[in-house]
Amino acid sequence: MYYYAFTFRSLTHAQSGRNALDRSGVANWLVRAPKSLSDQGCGYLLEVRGQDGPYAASILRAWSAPFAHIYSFYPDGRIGEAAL
Amino acid sequence: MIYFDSGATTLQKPPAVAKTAAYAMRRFASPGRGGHRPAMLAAEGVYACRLEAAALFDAEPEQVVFTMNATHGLNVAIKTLLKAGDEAVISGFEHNSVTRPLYHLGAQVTVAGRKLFDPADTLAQFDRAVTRRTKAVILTHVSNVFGYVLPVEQIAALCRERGVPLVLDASQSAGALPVSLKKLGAAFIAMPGHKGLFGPQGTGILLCARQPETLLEGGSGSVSKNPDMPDFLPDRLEAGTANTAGICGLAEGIRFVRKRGTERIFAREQSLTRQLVRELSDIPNVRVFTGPGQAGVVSFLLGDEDCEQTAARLAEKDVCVRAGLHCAPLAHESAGTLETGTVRASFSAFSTEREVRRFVRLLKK
Repeated sequence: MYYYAFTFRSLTHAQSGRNALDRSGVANWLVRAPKSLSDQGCGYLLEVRGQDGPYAASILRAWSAPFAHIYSFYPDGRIGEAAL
Repeated sequence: MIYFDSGATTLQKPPAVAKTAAYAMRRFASPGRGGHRPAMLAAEGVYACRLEAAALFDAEPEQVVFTMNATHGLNVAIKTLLKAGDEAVISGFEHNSVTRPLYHLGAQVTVAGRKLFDPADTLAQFDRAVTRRTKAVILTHVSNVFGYVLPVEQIAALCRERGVPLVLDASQSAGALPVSLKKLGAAFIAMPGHKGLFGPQGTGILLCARQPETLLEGGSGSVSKNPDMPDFLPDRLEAGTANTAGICGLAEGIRFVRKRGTERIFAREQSLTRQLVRELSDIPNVRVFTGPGQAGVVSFLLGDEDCEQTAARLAEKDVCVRAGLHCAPLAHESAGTLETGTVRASFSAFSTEREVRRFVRLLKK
């Protein structure tokens, strides 16, 4: 099971992104970003299941939700930046 | 008790306001400062208030900035748009929360529109005063002394036409009149949370349609490595720990306003205003300041009695009004009451006809 995480610098922006995903029926989880993924410190992630990643990205872009990066979290623990 | 001082702060609030604020104090930690449950719950409480405010004021949640009060928001707006020597146009009914920051900055101020209850004259004066040199127009929606509703929509249109940023002081109108950030095209709209929005004291909102300068710098819970404040809203203006309990209470106040509807609230306040004006007019030697379209604020003077004496007499009977200059000497100067001040009765959605009748009876004694 792999998942995608969208990084946000602002908690409020992440919450607005979360609401956009909720409205579109995309299951998501809003969590604090690990330090390794918040290059400027103190960020938040919106996590979605792997199969929902491209759709979630399109929704967030349509809503102009200003996410900074997208990361893939693989079952073996690897993390890589994704382009969706 | 009769509480007719809602222009200063509303005392009767929807019960959910205190209940939610108390709940937040017990259960919520610091929003945006951690990923644990109490911090995330706090973040949800604060965000819920942003959503309520965004819906009521036709803005995006990110444009809703929480402040301590309207004065705080007005200071941010004024100090973003103006520097020493810049020209600003204001109405003749502005509060010290507008005039004092302008004075402190050393702005050149033109006062336009000093006739009470004469929106045509106010608009004509702004039309003359707003020029290419004007760096900002700062305007109250409703006079906190006289309840005069200024022609805000028309002045906003004039500002848009001439490319001059508008700052609206919605201290007396938020929660009672429609206020739309998008429709007005204002640069900033400032308001308290504790008046017509029924939130706790210590809450306020600044709606931002343009990038503001910071008034306070500090922790924002975001981009912490950056030595400067974030360049995005609302984080840019929200330095330091938020008034989470107050904001959660405010969310309930705004919910109440949205449920009841500003149209209904304003109609009720106007009806009480008309009743009070009518009943006051029966008292010999009374001077009532009234005019068409007046909001739920009525100023008056009783013969030669000192306004503070009238208010003190009423306070002895457990009737709460405000007397003096109401932190708005400019408005009193415009109305010719700078020397006398006035007694002000101001209503909220919880004021009643019965209270108005009893108020006038007690006043006559």
